[in-house]
Amino acid sequence: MNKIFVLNKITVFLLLICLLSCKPDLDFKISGYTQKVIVEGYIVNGEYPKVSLSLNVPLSGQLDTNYIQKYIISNAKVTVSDNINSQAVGAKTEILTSTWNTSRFPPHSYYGTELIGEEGKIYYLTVSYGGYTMNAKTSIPFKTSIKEIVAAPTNEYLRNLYVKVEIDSLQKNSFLVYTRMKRDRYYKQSPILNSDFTLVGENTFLIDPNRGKNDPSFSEGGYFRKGDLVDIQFCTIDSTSTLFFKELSIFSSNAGIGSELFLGEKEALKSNISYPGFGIWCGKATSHYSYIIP
Amino acid sequence: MLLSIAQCLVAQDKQFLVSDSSNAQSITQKEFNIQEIEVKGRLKDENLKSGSLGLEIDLKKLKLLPKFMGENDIYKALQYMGGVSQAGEANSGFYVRGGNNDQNLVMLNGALIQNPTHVLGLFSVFNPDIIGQMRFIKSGMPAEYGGRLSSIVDINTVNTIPEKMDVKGSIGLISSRLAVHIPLSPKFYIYSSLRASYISSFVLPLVSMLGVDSALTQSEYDFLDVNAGFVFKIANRTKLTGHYYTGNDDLKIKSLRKAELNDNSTFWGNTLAGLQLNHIFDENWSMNHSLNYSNFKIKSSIDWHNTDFNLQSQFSNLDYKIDFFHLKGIHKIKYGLEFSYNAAIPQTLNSDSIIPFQNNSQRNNINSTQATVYFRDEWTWNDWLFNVGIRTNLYAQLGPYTDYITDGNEVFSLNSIVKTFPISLEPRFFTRYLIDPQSSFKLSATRHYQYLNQIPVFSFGIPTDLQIPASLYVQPQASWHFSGGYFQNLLENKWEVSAELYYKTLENQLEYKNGIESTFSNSMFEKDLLLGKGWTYGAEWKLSKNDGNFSGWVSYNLAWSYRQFDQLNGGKPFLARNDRRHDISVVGMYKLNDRWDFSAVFVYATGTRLNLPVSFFVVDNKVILEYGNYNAFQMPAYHRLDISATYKLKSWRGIKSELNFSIYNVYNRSNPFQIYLSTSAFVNKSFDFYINMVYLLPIIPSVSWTFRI
Repeated sequence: MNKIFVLNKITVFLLLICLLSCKPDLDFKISGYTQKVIVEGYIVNGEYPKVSLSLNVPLSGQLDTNYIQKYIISNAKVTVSDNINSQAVGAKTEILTSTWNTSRFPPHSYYGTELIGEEGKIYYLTVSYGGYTMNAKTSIPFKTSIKEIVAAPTNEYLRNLYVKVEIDSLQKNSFLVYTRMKRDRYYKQSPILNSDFTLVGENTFLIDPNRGKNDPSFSEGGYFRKGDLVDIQFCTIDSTSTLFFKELSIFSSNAGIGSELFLGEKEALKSNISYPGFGIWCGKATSHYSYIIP
Repeated sequence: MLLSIAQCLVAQDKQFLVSDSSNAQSITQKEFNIQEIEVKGRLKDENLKSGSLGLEIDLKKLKLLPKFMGENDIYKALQYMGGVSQAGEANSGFYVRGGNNDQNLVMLNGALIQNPTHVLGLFSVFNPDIIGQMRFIKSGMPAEYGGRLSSIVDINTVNTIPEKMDVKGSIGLISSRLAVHIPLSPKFYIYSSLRASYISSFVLPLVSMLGVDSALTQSEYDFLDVNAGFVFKIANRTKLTGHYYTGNDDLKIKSLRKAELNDNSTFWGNTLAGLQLNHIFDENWSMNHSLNYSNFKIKSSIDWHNTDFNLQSQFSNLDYKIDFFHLKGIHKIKYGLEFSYNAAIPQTLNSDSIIPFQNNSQRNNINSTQATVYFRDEWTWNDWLFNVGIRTNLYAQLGPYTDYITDGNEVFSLNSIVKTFPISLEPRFFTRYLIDPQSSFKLSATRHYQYLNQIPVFSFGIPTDLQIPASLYVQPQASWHFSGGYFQNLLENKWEVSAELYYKTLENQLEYKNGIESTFSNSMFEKDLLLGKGWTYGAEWKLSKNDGNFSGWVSYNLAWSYRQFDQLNGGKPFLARNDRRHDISVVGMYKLNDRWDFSAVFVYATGTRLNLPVSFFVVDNKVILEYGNYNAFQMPAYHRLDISATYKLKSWRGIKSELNFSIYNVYNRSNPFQIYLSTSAFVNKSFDFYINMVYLLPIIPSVSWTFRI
């Protein structure tokens, strides 16, 4: 009898543990969401301007394609000019044309067909949408070219890739380097170079292919493989764009590799788009290189 | 090492404090009985009459509290007391009255301990077999203490010479410890202790053999700590004591898939060494010198994307202090000087192929020096007791240091003064009024400055906080603390009731504005700090029963903790990360007979605040998460019940021993250890966003055998 009584007590105890050991849920109620027009626009030397528009997407509801589709802006008026007064005499001004491109996100962009970016000039962007007008200004700096590309072996197959650059201390410019192997689908951005504008003279930078786990070349880590053909875009950007891209790499780490290790965002990303817009209107002076890893 | 320890020492439990017959001890006793909350034996009405506004508990009773994996932890038991909240599951920190973790000063024999815990905060570094005294001050801080805004935890090893050799030890499931106290002569005594874990060599293979997770055997974790010291009575009125401590944790993780880290190895620990010289001039005048060195370092190596990274951080402190204590009529006067030199090496990163970070790696160390003078007087007048004091600090940052400025760097040479801060004044006021023999009220108003800051970067238990002392771009923290309480004893002091209110301002609070990547790449992260303010207020109630076979207490805290930064939350105030609105501790200890003791602890605390994203957008093929109102989310509540039973075995050949059976987290509450985000950003044109909670400590039964020879 006593044994049964003890067994019953143990059973009740174990049941109690099972009942109480359910994992608590987090009360996820969105607080502080403000809708913004997200602008991502580039004007590159020798190329037509390109602008993408979307709304920031609240993290509620089902985040499927149909839900996200509603936040893409395809009916805005987007104007680019090389004069703050786009109507001024001599000003080159163009209203961009809307086109879908499903290979990227947002799957819709606005392209120019007349105005071509020039080094050393300032360009103005105006976006009209939903009764709001948003403005931004950027410059295309003078181009900095790569003096030399060097591949240093780390073993029989893998190489470190270096670029040698002469930096003009009078210009507060930094450098974005994008690389792509033939077998990879997208260009990958290496961390921004000279982001504090403290470097002068000849500098050598090690280039990070910055591969994601979905890239075919992921197993090569931070190295390049012997025999690979690498396309390199070397872009010079001004100080405003530098600040944005520098912080963008920090903020995106919260959403990507290793995000679970880090504390949350502290300060909002800085943007050069006026309210209620957000994002970047960026001028780039770009050089293109192709290099076979020896 | 074991051999040398086996040759050594040990004394007994009851010598905590002042059993020495010298005048030196008597004057020390008079001094100790005033301002601090001593975790040791105490007078029955001490809570009414003492100069402290805090709580106190008998060290012997702390040892009766439920053990965790066989380890008895007096430091962690602080978290069951009013006004103290634990930072979270498996977190080494604790919060006192809404303050940050770095605002608590933890000392062992006067030497600073930067990270007082092992195993992600599960155990403290203090070996209970050599601890003689523990004081905890959370308000009404007397002028001899300073350097932190929120609290002082002052732990001292046994400092009286035992009559005979004493050996104590414990064998538990994941670690064992041994302490030896040897009186070599009536004037000279040495002691030593060793505690070591066997998680990698025994526990993880065993768990793996039981089929829990074979991957566990690929990881390693162990901790070790060693204490050694002596007490030398040079003359009847002069005593020299010395102490050495070293302890470390060693963690190796073969693979951390979520972060794509491989072969992670992290090693961290404290090393302390100190000497104290105490001399009594006469019955009314004594002097104490102390010279202490402490060092904390953490080294981590990581293989990330086929690249080896080595991360290192270190903080060293050299401190000399001289205290004088006078008894003059009704006055108890204490004054002193303190000089310290601090060297902080913030996170530095080296790599065989450090691609992203190579361009900004000229990281500064931050060296500083501080001189402090204090004076305080305590006296009683009828039913009133006053303790009034002043503490002043002169602090300077020293070179070498390079101020990286875009238009040209400014270089400071070794030991040149980079910046001198204005002299800070810290007035301290405390009063107590005995309403009648059974009740009193206490009031205090104190000012505090803190020059040594730590800023958390990672959100989990490894102590990787950024060490950022006040420097060229960093202001010292400061606060005003106002506190008042009513204390009532009932039924011949068997029961105690107290209610306290407090309000605390916090100035120059620091937040690091960027993420971890910037921490490594930025050569001057001290320029990237956000400066704000804060304020906390709340009430604490406590009901204790001290006498009889059943004893224990119930404490309840109701608290608010706010911060305000111009650059955060649109400049509007927000609840601090450590805001815990309700915090309840229920502690019960029952002595059934001479053989059996039982105890139980229940804790409940509302969840801390955290930041989570509310929306996202995509730029440059990167998913950017946007955060809404700052700290708008709340972790689930933390609660847990621990129980313990101790059976005293019959003495065998002079060996006294006991068996302890404990259950940690009896009802298996899944308290979140960590919350993290994960996304699958536009893989197959879809976007998934998850909030994941990690639970670390389920129900854990344990058994340990404690012995004493």
